[in-house]
Order: sequence, then structure tokens, then C-alpha cells
Amino acid sequence: MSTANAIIRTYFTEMNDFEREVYLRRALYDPGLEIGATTGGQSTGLLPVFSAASIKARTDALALLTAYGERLAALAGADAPTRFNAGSTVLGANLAGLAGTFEALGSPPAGEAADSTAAAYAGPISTIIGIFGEMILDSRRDRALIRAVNEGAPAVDTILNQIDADLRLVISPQRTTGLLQQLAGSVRYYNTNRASLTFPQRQALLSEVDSAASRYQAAVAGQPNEAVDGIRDAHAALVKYANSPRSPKDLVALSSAIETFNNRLRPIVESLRKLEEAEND
Amino acid sequence: MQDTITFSDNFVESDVTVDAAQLAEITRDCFLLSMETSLDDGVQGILYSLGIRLREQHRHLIKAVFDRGTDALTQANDEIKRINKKLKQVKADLDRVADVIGGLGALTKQLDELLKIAKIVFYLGRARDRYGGLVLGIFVLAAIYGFGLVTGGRDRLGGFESREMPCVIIEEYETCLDLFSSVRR
Repeated sequence: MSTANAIIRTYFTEMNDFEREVYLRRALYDPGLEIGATTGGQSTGLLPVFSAASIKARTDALALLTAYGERLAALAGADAPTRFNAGSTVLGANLAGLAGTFEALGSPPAGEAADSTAAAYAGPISTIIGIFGEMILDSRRDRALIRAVNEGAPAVDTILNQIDADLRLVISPQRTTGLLQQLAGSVRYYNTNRASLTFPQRQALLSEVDSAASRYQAAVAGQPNEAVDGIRDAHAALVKYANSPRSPKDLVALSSAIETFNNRLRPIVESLRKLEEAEND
Repeated sequence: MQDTITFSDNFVESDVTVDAAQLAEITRDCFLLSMETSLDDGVQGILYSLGIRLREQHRHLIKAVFDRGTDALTQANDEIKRINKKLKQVKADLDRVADVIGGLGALTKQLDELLKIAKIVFYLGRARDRYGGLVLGIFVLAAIYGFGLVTGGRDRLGGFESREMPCVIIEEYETCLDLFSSVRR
């Protein structure tokens, strides 16, 4: 998930860079355009259009969501209960050894056998403590996980819905219209000036048109919000398992759901990466 | 805050109100039509200029939409931050309980070894009474030092020296009981 988030994060952090690029490309194809920071009081795109605070809220959300998935996985996979049981068994064995040493140090009165009760009980009692301790710690861990998933669900939904809306209503249209403007600008410049251009100039310009068309094609084909759909589905499964009746089968399913939440995005990550590569060509 | 924008000028006969998605669609159509070769060059130019103008309007609209979602997102971020902190704390608590029980096992073993040293000292003390103090004193020190080297008794264990272990064991037992009872709660 962290890789997918990193790619989505790039869309947000580059919003202002993209607007500047669109504006300067427009100036490139329009010799009559005088460039500036504002026109009639309105931002041209040369300087940041989207506020740093709004962009930071998005990048923070993605980072926190990644940390949330990782912390859930870390707690679900915590070996503390097992270590407690193992540690308790070792403690029992060592207590038995200690009791034996105490007996050896003492001198029982003549005719009386040494009391080996402590040594006899230390091991089994520690084993029982270990088993119960493991159960208690397991229970504490599971309760903490379920509580975190349930308490986090509304906030996670809010974040996913907002990121989804941003990608569908802001990022995607901003990219497609901006790339289409660059393509239309290069096409128009070529058509207007093609008769007076040399062969190498035409070749270079057509290469620009080709590049702009490829980037536009990639932007239209790519649906970055699909990544959010993947995370949302995985999160819904996580909440469902967290609230299912408790049984060993459900515990396995819960861990599996957390893993899915973190890992199911590989194909989407790949497509996003290809999209990003195409746009950067 | 508004999610729509109203156009009222020479391009249309009456006011037209559109939302961000519709405006993006119209902007795309303008740019695509500006590349339609069957259209007159002048019309293409108008469509291209109109596309640029509409895109600027669209940018203002999506900026407003973008900023409007920030407050809700910031609140959700704070909530996730709180939960992440709690998850980290629970894991640390569980690890600490397991660490303490492991440490207790090691400390108990260490105490056992120290008592064995005491036993050796006791027997050597009796030998001293019989054979004289100085020579046996040297043997005692050498034996303790050698035993420490073999068992690691001179090493620091859990941040404490061997001589502090009886006190440490009591403290660790108490810590373990406290943590364990808090975990049960």
C-alpha cells in the first residue's frame, strides 16, 4: 500500500508544478502571450494555485493510512503472547533449579528428607501461568485490534472518500484538460507554421505532438482512483472480519484481511507506475 | 462554498450554470474540436482560446472544491494519528510484559548461580579456618572471578550488575505483576 500511496501522493505534490508546466507550454506555442503571475487578478499558474495546507492534508492522510495498516499488521503479528509463554516456561525451569539450590544450601535435621515441594511445583505452575498469560495477551491484542479497526473505520472512510473525490473531481480533470491543452496547442502551432518550418523543425515539433498525445492517452486510460477502490474494498473486508464472531478461523481471516489491506494493490501499483512513466516520457 | 460556476456573456444566449465535471467535459470538447481539421482555421482558433478560458475557470472551481475538503480530512488525520499512537502503545505494552518474564527467567538463573558461588565460598571459608586466611582468600577471589567469566556473571544483565540482582528481581517481579494486572484489565 505504501508504494501505491507514494504514487498517489505524487499527484498531489505535483499539482502546482503541473499548472506551471501547462501555462509555460501555452506561452511556448503562443508568441503573443505575455507571461506573468496573474492576469486580471487571477492566478495564471506560474505561481502555486493550490494551497500548501490543502496538499499537505492529502499527503499526511496517505502517510497516516500507510502507518495505520503497518501498525495493525505489526500488532496482529506480535509475538509477545508466544514469547510470554516460552519465557514463563524458562522461568519455571529456573525457579525449580533455584529451589534445588536452596535445598542444597540448607541442612535438613537428621532423619528428615529435604523438602522438594517448591522444585516439583515451580515448573508445572509456570507452564500453566504461561498458557493463561498467552491467552490473556492474545485476548488483549485481539481486543486492541478490533477496537482500532472499529474506531478507525469512520476516519479511514473519510480519508478514502476524500482522496477518491480529489482524484476523480480535481486531479484527473486537471491532468486531462491540461494535457489536452498542451496537445491542442502543439497541433495548432504546427498547423499554423508547418509551411515555413524546415524538415528538422517539423520533425522536432511532430515529436512534441507525439509526446503530448501519448501523455494525454495515458491520462485518459489511467484511473488513479481505482487504487482507492482497492484500498476501500480491503478496508471493508478488514472491518467485516474484525466484527465477525471470534474463533480461530476468524483470527486467521483478520490477519489475512490486514495483509490484504496492505498488499492487494500490486497490479494497480504497476498500472499507476506505467501511467506515471508514460506521463514523464 | 459554491460547487458550480455561472457563465453570462456573449458566448451564450442565457446564463449557464455548470459543475466542475460538466465544465471539464466542455473544456475537453473545445480542445478536441480545435483539432478537428474539417473546421475552419478561425473556428479552430476560437475553440482553442475558449478551451483555455474554460480551463482557467475550471481551475478556480476545483481549487475551491479541493480546499473545501481539507477540514474534514484534517480531522480524520488527527483521529488516525491518535489510533496509530494507541496501536503502538499496546504493542509496546505486550512486548514489555514478554520481555519482563524473559528477563525474570534470566535473573532467576543468575541468582541460582550466585547462590552456588555462595556455597563455594562457604566451603572455602571452612577450609580457610583450617588452612589459614591469606592463601585461601586468594583462591576465593580467583574462583569468583573465574566463575564470573564462565557464566557471564560479571556482565551487565538488563542494565544491572550481578551484585544488584536480588533487588532487581524483586522490582522486576513487581513490574511484571503490575503490567500483567493492567493487561488483564
